[in-house]
Formats: sequence, C-alpha cells, structure tokens
Amino acid sequence: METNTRNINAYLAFFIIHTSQIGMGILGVPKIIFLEANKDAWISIILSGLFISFLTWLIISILKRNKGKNLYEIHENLFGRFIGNIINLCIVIYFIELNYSIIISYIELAITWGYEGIYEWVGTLALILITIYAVLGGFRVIVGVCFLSFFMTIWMIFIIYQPLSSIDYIRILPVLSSTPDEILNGVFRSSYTMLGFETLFFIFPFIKEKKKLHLYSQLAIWFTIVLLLTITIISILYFSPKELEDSVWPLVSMISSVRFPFIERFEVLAISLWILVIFPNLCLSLFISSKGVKHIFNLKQKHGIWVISLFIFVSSFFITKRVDNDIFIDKIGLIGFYLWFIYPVFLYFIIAIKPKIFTRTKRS
Amino acid sequence: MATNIGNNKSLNYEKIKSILNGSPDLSCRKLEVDQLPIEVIFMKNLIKAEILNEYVIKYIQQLPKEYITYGYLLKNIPIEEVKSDFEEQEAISSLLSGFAYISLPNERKAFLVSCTNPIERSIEKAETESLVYGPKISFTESLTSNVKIIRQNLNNPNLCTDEMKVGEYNQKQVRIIYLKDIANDESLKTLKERLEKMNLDNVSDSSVLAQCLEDNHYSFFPQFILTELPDRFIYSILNGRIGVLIDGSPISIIGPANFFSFFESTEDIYLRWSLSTFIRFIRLFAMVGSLFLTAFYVAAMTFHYEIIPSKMLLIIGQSRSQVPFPPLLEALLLELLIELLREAGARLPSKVGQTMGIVGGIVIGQATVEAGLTSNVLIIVVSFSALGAFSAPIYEMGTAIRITRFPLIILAGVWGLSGIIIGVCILMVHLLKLTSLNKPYLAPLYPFRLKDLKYFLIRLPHHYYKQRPSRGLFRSSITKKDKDLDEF
Repeated sequence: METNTRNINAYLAFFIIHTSQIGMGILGVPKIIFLEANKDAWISIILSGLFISFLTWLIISILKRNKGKNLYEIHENLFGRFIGNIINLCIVIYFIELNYSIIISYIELAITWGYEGIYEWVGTLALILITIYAVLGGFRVIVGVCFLSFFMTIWMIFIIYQPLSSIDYIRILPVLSSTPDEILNGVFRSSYTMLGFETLFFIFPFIKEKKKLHLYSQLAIWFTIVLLLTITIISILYFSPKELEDSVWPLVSMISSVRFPFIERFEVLAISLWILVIFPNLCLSLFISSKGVKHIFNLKQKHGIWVISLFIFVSSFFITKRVDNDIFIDKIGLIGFYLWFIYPVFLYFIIAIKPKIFTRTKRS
Repeated sequence: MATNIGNNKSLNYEKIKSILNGSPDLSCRKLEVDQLPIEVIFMKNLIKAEILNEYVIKYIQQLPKEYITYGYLLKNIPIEEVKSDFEEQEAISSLLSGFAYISLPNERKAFLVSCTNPIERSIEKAETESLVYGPKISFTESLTSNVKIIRQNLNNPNLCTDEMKVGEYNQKQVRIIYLKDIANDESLKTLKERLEKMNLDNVSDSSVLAQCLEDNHYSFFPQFILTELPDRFIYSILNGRIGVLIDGSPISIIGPANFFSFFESTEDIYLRWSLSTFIRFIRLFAMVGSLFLTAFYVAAMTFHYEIIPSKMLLIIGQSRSQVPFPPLLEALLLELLIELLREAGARLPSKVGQTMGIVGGIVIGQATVEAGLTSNVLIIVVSFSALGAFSAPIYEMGTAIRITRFPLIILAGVWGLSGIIIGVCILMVHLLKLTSLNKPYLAPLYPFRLKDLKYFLIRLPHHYYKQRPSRGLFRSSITKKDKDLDEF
C-alpha cells in the first residue's frame, strides 16, 4: 500500500526527531541514571548517544533498502501478512501505551505542582482532545506543531544559568568511579528518555530529500544528547547525592530555584509550558498508532484516531497512583529498549541476509 | 427565445412599461424627421440629459432623411457605447443602467446607446484606515472610478481586469485584478471557480463577498485582506496577489493572504527601515500582549498568586481585597464594558461621541474602581489589551483578536496557566490548518522560507529586496478533498 503523499523537506526531520525524544523523560532522567551509575551518569548518556547514532545509521540503511516504505509495510514484505501484522500490532500497542504514559505522567506532574483538586480525567480529556484536533489536520499540521513548539520552548534552556551559580564541582569527581556494569545499567535505564528516534521509521516516506535525512537525524539526536548531558551534569553538580536520589523530577526542582524580577516562581510557568513540549510527542504517537491500525485492520485513520483515544481515556481511570505510574513507565522503557534498541540490529541482519538466501535457493 | 430583438416588433413602449411595472420614470420621446418616425425610450432619472439631447436627438434631427437608417445610425451615432445584438432581458437591464433604446418602427429594428449618469462620490481621504505618511486617497463606490485609479497608478499592459457577475437576484459586476505574469495561477483558478459557484441573492458589499469566498467559514481569523487604500492594493498586486473589486463597495479584497501580511502596512515601506522594523515588532508584541495579558492576570489571580513578585502582590492584593467577584468574573465584566464602550462610540453621532468617550473611559473606569467592583490593576491590563488589538493595520484582524481573547480568558479562569497553554495549542493548530485560497496561512513561518522572512517580520533597506516574495511564498498549494490523514 503506497501512501499517496505530498512531501516535506528534510530539515523538518530534525524538529520531528528532536521533539519526539524530548518529552516527560527529561524531567526525571538525572535521578534515574544516578540511581544506577552514580556520578558517572553522564558517561551513560554519552554511550547511549553513540549507540543511538549507530542505530540511526542502521535504521536509515534499512529504510533505504526498502525504497520508501514505512515499517509496517516492511514487516509485511519480510514476514508475510500474518506474522508481519502480529509484529505491527505489538508496535501499535507500544505507541498507544507511550501516548498513555506521557499523558498520565504529565497529569501527575501538574497535579503535584499546583492544581490540587482538579479531577484527573478532566486534564486527560483536554490533552486527548487537542491531540485529536491536531492529528485530524494531517501530517503537515503535526510537523508544523513540532516545528513551532520547538521554537516556543527552546528558550527555556537558557534559564539554566541561574542554578549554575550554586554548583559544586567536587560532586562529579572522581570520574569513572563506577563499574562498567553500573554504567551499562544506566544506559538501559535511560531508554525511556532516549526513545523517540523510532519515529524515523514512519516518517521516512514523507520526506522529499532522502539523502539529507541522515545528516538531519544525526544532528537531532546529538542535539538531544547534548541537552540531556547538560542537564544531567548540572543536576549532579547542583544536588547533593542524597537529594538527587530522593527527588522525583530533578529538573523541575532545579527550575524552581530560578527567579526573575517579574515572575517569582518560574517553575509554575515552566510546567504549564511543558504541555507544549509533550504536545508533539502525543500527536506523533497517535498518528503512528492510527497508521498501524489502518494498515492492519483497514480502518481509516480519521476513525482510528477516535477509537484509540477512547481506549486511552477509558484506561486512564485505572492507573492513578504514583507507584503504578512508575511501574508502568519502567515497563514501557523496557519494551522500548528491546523493541527499538535491539530489534533494529536484528532486522538489519535479516534484510541483509535475505536476498542471499533467496539467490542460493534459486540456484540450487 | 434567443432572437435578435432588432428584428422583432415585440418590444415597444407599452411592453417595456408593463415589464417595469409602470415606472413613472420611463419616458418616450417620439421624433419625426420627414415623416420618418423614431422612438427614443429611456429612464428619465438615469440618463444624463445633455448626452441625450446633444448627441442623440439633435444629431438625428440634423441628419438628412436618407441617412436615417438602422445601419447608418448604428455606425455613426456619436456615442461611445452602442449595443445592437441583444435579448429582451439585456435590453431591460441596459435601460435600467441608463441606456436609451432607439427604435425605428419602419425598419422594425432598434439599438441601445449609453447615456449613463452614475452618482459618484468624489475621491476623498480614507476613513477606516489612515496613513501618517503617503497617499491618502481611498476607493469609492463606483467600480469604474476604482479601476481608473488602479490603471493610473499601475500602467503595465500585463494588468488584467477580468469581469464576472455575481448575485442571483441583484447582479453586480466584479472585477478580478492581477498581473498576468506575476500572479499565481492556481490561486487565480481557485478564485474564479469559487466566484462561479456562488449563489447568493445579493452581494451587498465586498466584505460579504470575501466571507463567501473564504476557505474556512468558521474560523475567527480573516483569510482575505480587505482594504480601502489603493496604494495597499497596488502593492499587494505587485507582490503577486490577486485583487477583487465589486461595484458599489469601496473596500477591495486581496488574496491569498497570510497571517503576517495582516500586520504589515504600506507605511512600513514609506518610512525608513529602522522605524519600520521597530514598529513591526511592536505590532506583533502588542497582538500577543493583547491576547494573553488579561488571561494571564486571571490565571495568576485565581490559581497562581505566588507567581507575582511580592512587591506587586501587596498592591494587587489591596485592590483586590474589596472586590466581591472572583477574578474571572471581574475580568469578563470589564472586558465586556470596554467592548460596549467601543460599540457605542462607533455608533454615536460625532458631536456626542467625544463626550461619551471621556465619560465612559475616565468616569466609569474610575468609578468602578472606587465602588470596589474591579481592581485598578485590571483596568490597566484591560485597556492595554484594548489598545493592542487595534495595532493590526487591517481592521478584520483586530476584530479576530478581540474575539479570540474571550475563550482564552475563560480557559485561564477554569484551568489557570495550563488552560492558557492549551488555548495556545488549539490556536497554533488552528492557524496551521488554515489556508487562504489553498495557500498555507502561516507561511513563511511554517513552510519555513528564510528569504521570505525579511518581507514579513523585519524590513531591510530597499536594496535587499531584489526578488519578489511571491516566488517563495506561494509555491505550495494544499487541496483538501476527502482524503485520509496520511495523504495530504
């Protein structure tokens, strides 16, 4: 099923991949990696970045060999209709659950920081409705959302200069004091935050200049890695080790020490602006999952969106406590790790070997 | 039915009188030159008497008898517009436009000559839009004089002024004006198709026409630029846009428009680049402030009072302590009061208007604060918002901002800052979806064209503007048919 599209320029892939990586994970990532790798959390991030760079190269070569099909169609081609669709169903469920996890973690964040008394389902409903409104505009509108929300939120990085005045360099020394095991565990734990580059599998057919795509995707990933690195290093320098282990969202705690002459508690504004940061994630995951539903069940995307959103809304009533949220997000991180860190390597080998097996069988 | 009336006896004075329902203005002048009868039928108040007397009646009376034939008269009568091949319907509508129907009963032929005397307002200064610097004339209600103004200022042979007719019951003439080699062909085609599909009884004004031609009728934001100033019109045409003028309206329609073109004024070109860039930023900043400031106040007062710096908190707290309403209600009340003042001020006769403005603004504002109905900080905020909405040079965009402010205030009152951000998301998605004549509304910001940004966000000295923006701006067209989401 070739999709009949009018394409977007390659530089927009930078914004899509970067905004789909930055979501709710970045708020808590310093703590999560710190728990595993202690002071060398930043090394975990650099290793993670190198691995993801390599994965991007793999993904693009997989996509180039299949000539402009997205992942759902590649599975159908490789494994046949039945098994391919089972794998596609797993991917669709992953994206639905990703969407859901972002919504519930944001609602939890908002309720903790100043909206006590608001019912959770109200916030969930609002987020779901604006996502549906955006996705109903088509892929062009979603890419526009990524582009605009990047520019509307990127200025928040520069606020970091205020906590910088109270950092202590000794907290990151001595370097390399953790075992390689712990560092690799840190890489594993950071997977929920790093995920986002898998949208590359699905936006590939929409891009005009496929040759420049690699450059922009690598730029996006390294931009994200640099951002995460800065935030992790500053968190380690700013918080004492016990403080960092106890805090739930270290980045928000850091922002709360920022103060401007015309706004006192800046983190209230930052948390509200965080909706703009997660909005592209929500839109992209809804778009990709409904595209999968269209591929498997032949349900038009316009209708698939409503079905998926109803499902997400109903299930939001079931997971409400902080503990449950944590477990859920860890599970998503785990599934994401296996699905998007390990599986593409596997896929690449299958695609590389398959023609050779077929030519051998033809000759014999 | 399509017979040449010139050869048919069926249209005579009695019949015309009955079709026109016995109009008292219908007159018939029967001439006789050497026993050759000639009838001149006309509407008394629609013609210019000198033209009829000098160039028709006197001319015919001075001709020798053998020259008074249909063929000779048709070729030699000294009037610039003559119609000879027409149907009954066209004859009646021409009579109603000021033509005279000259019939030669002997030959049973007739023709129409033009003696019109349209009422025209003289060309005056523009009322709704004004420039500090630059040409100040405005269009008038007469289509011919408007086209004349445009032709005088833009005398390029590529300027096309295509004619169309709209309106089922009351037909009006419409002119589509564009430069053939510069204008975008797809937009032109779309515009002409939409004009043909229109089936409104009467198109009262060009703003009605603009509303019918829009891509998205439900949006708050205008998708065509409506302007009264010829220099603005000509500037847009030279940039590749297409203009539409309708008879009877001094306002012209320009499309396709994008969001930032509503914030540029021709004054930006007449003034130097430094002031123009500064003023453009002020306009955008005023628009953003006008949209969000009141909402921000409501959100901060209701949910997040800790955001306000502690020094200001004392002042605001003091003034708010006397107010019995919650901040949302207070803000809505004051905004509605300002809207009322503005509406009433627009309708009042000019002698009373000034006094009412002062009474409304100063006395009512001061009195509400002292009575304890609102806080004085809110009055400052609301008046800034009111001013900011009119920083957009095009009136329609100012009204769009006025209206969009209210849902944002309500969202702020219900959900606080997050509500405002959700409103921002909805607004952003809406503007991304919006198209004007199938061209994206947020160009050059969303289909990002760096080269076109210098036309819309800032203004550089003139030697940087070597290329027209239309080359990059109107490249991509979005046609919406019943497609699925991944096929756009």
